[in-house]
Amino acid sequence: MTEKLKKLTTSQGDNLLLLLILAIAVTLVSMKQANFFSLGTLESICYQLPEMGLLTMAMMVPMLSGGINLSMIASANLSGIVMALIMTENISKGEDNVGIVIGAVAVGILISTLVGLINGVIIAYFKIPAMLVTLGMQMLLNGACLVITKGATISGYPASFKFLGNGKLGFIPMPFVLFAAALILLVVLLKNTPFGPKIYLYGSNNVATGFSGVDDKVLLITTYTISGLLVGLAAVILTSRFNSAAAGYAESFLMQSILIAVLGGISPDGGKGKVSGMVLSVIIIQVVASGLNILRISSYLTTAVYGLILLAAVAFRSKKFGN
Amino acid sequence: MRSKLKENKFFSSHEFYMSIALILLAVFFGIRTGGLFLTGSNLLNMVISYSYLGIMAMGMLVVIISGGIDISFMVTATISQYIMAKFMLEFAGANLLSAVAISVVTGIALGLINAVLVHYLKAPTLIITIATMSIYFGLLMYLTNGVRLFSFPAWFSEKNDSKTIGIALGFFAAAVVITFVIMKFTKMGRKIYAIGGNIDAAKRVGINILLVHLFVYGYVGAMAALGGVVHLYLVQQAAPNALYGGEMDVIAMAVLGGVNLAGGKGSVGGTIIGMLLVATLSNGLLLIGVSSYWQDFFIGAVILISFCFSGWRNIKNKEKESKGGKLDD
Repeated sequence: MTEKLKKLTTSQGDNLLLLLILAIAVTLVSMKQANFFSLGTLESICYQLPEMGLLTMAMMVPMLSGGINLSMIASANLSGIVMALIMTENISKGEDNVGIVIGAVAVGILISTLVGLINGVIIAYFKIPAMLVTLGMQMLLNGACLVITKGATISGYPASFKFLGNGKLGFIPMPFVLFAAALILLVVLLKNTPFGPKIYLYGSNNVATGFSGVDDKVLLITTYTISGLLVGLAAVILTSRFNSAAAGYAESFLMQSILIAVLGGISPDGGKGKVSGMVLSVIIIQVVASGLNILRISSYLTTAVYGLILLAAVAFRSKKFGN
Repeated sequence: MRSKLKENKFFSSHEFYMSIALILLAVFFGIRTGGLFLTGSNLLNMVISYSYLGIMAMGMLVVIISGGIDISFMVTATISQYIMAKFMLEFAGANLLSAVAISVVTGIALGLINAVLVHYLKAPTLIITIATMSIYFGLLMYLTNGVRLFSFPAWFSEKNDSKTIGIALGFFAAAVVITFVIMKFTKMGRKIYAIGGNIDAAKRVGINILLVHLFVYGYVGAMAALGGVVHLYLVQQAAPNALYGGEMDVIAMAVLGGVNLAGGKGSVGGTIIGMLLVATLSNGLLLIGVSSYWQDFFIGAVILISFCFSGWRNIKNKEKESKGGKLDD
């Protein structure tokens, strides 16, 4: 028995545990809705999951380095607003212009990437804790969103843009294609490039890593720039699926992404966490969200439930993190 | 003569530079508003409007010095404020003392929950308090349905100038004095600085970390509740989502005031300067006619710039340290 328990603490065992939790979650929800475990549900999950998945990836990368990115949602909102403005100002309602849409998407992704770069530079060069920098950046970006929109929402996008969040490539929902592509790139980055081991080392012990010849400034800037890039991708999907953009959207997603990351095994102190765990965790929370939806739990109560799950995940994980 | 000035601790401290920034900002706004900004009545109103945030900043100061942070304090303030409002509306025998007591007790209770979680879960305080913030806020909105409370009994709703000054500035002054005395003159204050500076060393010296955690997070809760009381008096209504999102202003006040997020460093005076900076910036921009949409943007920018500035000074200090010599504060 202890042998089996010991197996659970290995990294494959960790994934096994998450799979078990997922199975339990699916079973519980299926008891309330008979056809939950079906192709239809799978498809709708493939539409809803990518935005949370990308945001969690954007949270995961800085967390691996021992930091955090609290400016994510504000950055996504800003990208969304700018993309929306470019499209609505240049394409009349009901029409379409793929060239402009591509341009808008590129600008949106660029903005978030730039924000990430600036975060990284301030964190790396001025040695300010990521929490503070990204919190201040969040305020600045929220302000920028308000200044641009003056509180209004911008909606009404051309079909080619809506396709990104709502269309299908063959059988597979388009957002899932983007998510899967980003996921593969992230895995390659972490496993097959020098960046991967460096960020894990830095997260575990940033002083030692500094002494061992790793340029931590470049590492940190890369980390937050990648996070920004992922935020940009998430922004495209979010804006397309919401079909509107405004300041203050999706605020609850920030806490959710932290929850998913911690549940998936990413240590907030840095140095630990696998993409596989993160993916399983995203699916678990998606199932939980669907379940809460089916039970018609109010969105406020849902927020409270997520808070409880985060505490539970932290408690569950703090033993694993070797405390 | 010049070098003597530089050797003086105050003149090279963070608080000094922030004071200069404050003076410059005040002068700038004074000129741009044709003196309107600097009138007694404007300055008084400004301080009164920001007094409740200043009270909360005192709590934030203490928790950051202890090496942690609490993001849930705004929701704690809202809940305490709401319960106090309900109490005033439904108990005929309520008076200011009992109402404030109920609010503060609620704040302390919510803070103690944070304390226990922080102590036993051994996870970053940011994450734990984000979780409790979500739980508290979700439950608050769900249980209240967003209903606002107003029309309070006359002893609370009757406002006149001296009463307003008394409550706003009185509570603010009380918070400042109490925090100052605790941090400078009591054993608990020293213990808080200790665990913020080096928690392992503090443990080895025999400090009861649990007690300190209970005190610190209870104190944040109490200050949040007190701020909530003043806010309730100023706006005369309790709305569950009114204070939400104002966390950054308070954290900004503490950080601009020179508190070190790693813990172990920070002062009441600095936080007051931080509060005045945030208040001056917001009030000044408003008086110049800058739309309130720009407020967050400018305050965020000022915060980031001040981070860069203090970060740069820290780096210079570390260089001086390795070369040998006197450190700036």
